[in-house]
Amino acid sequence: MKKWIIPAVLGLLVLAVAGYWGYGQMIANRSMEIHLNNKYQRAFYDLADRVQDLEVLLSKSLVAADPGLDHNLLMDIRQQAAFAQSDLSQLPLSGELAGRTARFLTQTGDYAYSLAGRLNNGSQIDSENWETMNQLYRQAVELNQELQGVQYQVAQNNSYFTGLVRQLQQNLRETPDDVPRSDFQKMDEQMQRYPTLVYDGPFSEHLEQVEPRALKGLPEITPEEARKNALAFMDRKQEANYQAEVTGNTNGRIRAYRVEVFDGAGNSGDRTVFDISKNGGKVVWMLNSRQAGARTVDVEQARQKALEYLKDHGFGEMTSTYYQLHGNSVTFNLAAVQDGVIIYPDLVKVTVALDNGAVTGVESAGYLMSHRERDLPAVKISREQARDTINPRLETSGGKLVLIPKGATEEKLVYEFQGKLGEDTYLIYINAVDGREENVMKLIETPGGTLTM
Amino acid sequence: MVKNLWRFKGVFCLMTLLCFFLVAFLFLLRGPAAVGQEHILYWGSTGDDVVRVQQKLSQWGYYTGPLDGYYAYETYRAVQDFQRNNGISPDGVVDRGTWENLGLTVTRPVPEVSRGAASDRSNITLLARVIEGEAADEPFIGKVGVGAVILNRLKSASFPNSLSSVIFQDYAFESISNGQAYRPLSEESIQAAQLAMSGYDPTGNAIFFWNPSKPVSPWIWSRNVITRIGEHVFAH
Repeated sequence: MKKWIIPAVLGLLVLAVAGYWGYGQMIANRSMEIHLNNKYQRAFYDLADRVQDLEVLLSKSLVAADPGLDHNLLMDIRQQAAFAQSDLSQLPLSGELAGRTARFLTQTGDYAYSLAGRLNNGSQIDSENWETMNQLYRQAVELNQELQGVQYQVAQNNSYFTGLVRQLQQNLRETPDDVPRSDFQKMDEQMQRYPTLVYDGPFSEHLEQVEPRALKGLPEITPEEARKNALAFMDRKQEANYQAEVTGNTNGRIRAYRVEVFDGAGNSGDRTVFDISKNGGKVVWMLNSRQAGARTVDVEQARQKALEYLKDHGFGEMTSTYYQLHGNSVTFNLAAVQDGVIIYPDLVKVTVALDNGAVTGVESAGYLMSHRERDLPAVKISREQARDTINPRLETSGGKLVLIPKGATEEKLVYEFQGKLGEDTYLIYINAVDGREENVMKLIETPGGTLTM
Repeated sequence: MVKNLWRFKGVFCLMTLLCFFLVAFLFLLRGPAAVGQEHILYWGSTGDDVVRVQQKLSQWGYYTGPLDGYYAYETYRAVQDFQRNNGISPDGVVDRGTWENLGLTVTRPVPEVSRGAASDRSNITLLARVIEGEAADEPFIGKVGVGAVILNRLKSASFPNSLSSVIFQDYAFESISNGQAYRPLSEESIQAAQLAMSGYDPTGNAIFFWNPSKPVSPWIWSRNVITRIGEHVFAH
């Protein structure tokens, strides 16, 4: 009789402990779930509010006549769109489920900002702009309606979002066709119909179809030529027996051959990878994966090396504008120079290893996209006149003529002044044609180099 | 004795209160002085700067009145005389030019602006985390590629517009969802993050990447495949 009593008591005890532990876990789990749901609900209700605001602001901007008021409305639209975008990104939706909605919000804000910029420059909102705003307004109304529909469901079901999370996780495992489409998916499909926006902003659609300017009209090369070009672009330190082979393709904005170069005499770990453009056979980027050892070369020597390298490889006149140290390597930004004017949009990055001074990386995609011989406008403002327009609190120096990108497509010829206020340094850009202050950048000194923000 | 102590306490309280008022009063006094740090002096100006001008002018014989720090008629006339003799237009206003002619260097008014604290350190660490989580076993170029995809998303309208929102977007990166990204960072991942930040993009502007040997949503294959690096396919 006594034989089974001890095991039974022990078993019950274990069961009780396990039950207690399990109950604790369940409680903890539930409170976590509620917490998560609350976070999601907050993001969702915020999103619904912002989209509502956005709809109202868009409709107001259609009727406002005063440019000052219109400008304020447009800036508010931009802000509400940015908030809405941030709320949307906090909901448990993958990019494929909310991509179009996100795109609508980003472009609406961006478009409003570019219109506000036009108003600032004294130009008017024309009927084409008005029509676009009208379309965006109608789209916002639809989005608002969809969100109100979801709002009803969320109000009915407190664990709406954790349900969505489960559904999404299933979605990842199974084929998506079997899973019922979520409300957000339907919402996102609605967004497909909004107009294509072409304007001067960083998120404008036409920017994705831009052709590389520096490669226009250049003949297509063969893989064999790509191999040779890659070898020519190697920074040969000692006479190593370099060999190259084409290992793939890149079908991005710049179509290219992937070429890998390695030392034939063994040491296969040290590979240099290239993208050589199919048109014209230029290097799009080159990168060597070797980790640089202890420094024997200083930044100034490395800069000379980088400039020399670009000169030897047919890049014309370039000047070093900025550098950043990382580990035992340094990356220089080098800009093209035309008629003594620094062309900031045409930027090449060159990385130099500080242990042996060899070039280990080149990035020239941006340069290939934008480089060309430009028609620079005539200077109408003298350097002194430009300097006088600067905030008198700054101690100014410099005043080089440079070309800077403005908006997504425009470029402006400006004077670049350095200004000091207390310990902080700024770059001030004054338009050399009309004297407007185009931009103010702040220089931030870090141990690795100077950042501009 | 106890009563005595009480009285002592009262006195002590009163003294602290007095001290407090004194300090407050001093601050009040400082207020207008700080505001009056005006470097252009004219009729009606007061303060130490006026005394400095009066001193100089009386040393040179233009001014005979008291060094009282009040810019009134006599000071005004003296300044005008001085300006006339020095070829400055006699407007009776001590501006920068007059200050310099008086041989008094004006300390440039430097507003109190402390040095900014902005840096990009946190962004590099964040980027390196995802690189470590997603591409720890990939070749170096593949690591830079993952970093570049994240930065390309920042420039894409369909994704959030800040680095942290792109990285912490739900279901964006598996290693963030399952905690793999919180492993210790390797030197190589940090280097790759830095290179991606400085503009290297071996992916040709890709905004998606995936490992085809792992289960992925079939939807992803409808994207435009750009290139392959190591185990990852990169697409737009």
